[in-house]
Amino acid sequence: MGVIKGTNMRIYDGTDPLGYATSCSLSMSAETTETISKDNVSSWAESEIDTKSATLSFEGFASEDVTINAVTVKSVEDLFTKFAAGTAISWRFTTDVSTTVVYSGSGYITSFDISAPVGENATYSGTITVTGAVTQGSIV
Amino acid sequence: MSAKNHIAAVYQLLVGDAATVALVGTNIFPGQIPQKNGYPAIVYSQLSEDMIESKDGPISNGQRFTLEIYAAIDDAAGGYPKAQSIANAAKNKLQWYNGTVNGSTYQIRFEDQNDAPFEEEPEAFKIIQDYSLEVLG
Repeated sequence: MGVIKGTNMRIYDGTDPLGYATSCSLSMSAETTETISKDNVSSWAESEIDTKSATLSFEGFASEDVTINAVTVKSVEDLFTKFAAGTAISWRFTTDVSTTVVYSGSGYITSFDISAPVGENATYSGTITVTGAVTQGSIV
Repeated sequence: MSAKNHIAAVYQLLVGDAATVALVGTNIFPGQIPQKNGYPAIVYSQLSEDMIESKDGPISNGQRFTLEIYAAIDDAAGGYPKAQSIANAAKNKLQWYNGTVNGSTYQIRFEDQNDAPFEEEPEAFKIIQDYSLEVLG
């Protein structure tokens, strides 16, 4: 299979990728609870896994286009609408190629930025905070 | 959108500008000056078409074009001042242009201007201007 090409790995809202995306990431972490007690005192910390959490980050060029190269995409307006309404996103993080890995779950856009410097293309960026579990599967 | 020759809009803008036409007439050419035509003249040519990459493929990041402005050394109106006058007229027209030409909307920005070495045959003063051009729709 080889290394997954970053260009092909995308965040999807349902079936639609985020339009003109330039970067995306899935970040997962787990909190731990220390389990050291007077019966197992040693010089090494001991702990067990507690709550796990995840966020997705995304960046792209700002556009109102909802179709790019005949593919339906989510525009800046679509993303703002979901952010403003607090609508849950059924996200997928995948290349969307048959038999390849897909991470998926539900989440909310909890930050959304639009940047427009002089002489450069406007960009958007944001964070999806995952609610519930992150599931690993494969595209069928 | 990309199939259209957007640099041709530069010709339309300059040939429609009274101040520029008063100085060079219709001596405004793409690429180079035809042999039968003399100075003063403006030559426009595309320098580059910038593309930036996204996950949906390349996105146009505008084009860059250059104007070469020529005035004969023995021009009766004064060679170098004449070249400067033409450069100023072209710059005044293009440097902050926002508008529609032939159905496309353009944004043009002045980038740089410098004196080039003498043109040798026939002898002429030469000023070069660089611009960026964005197609907005």
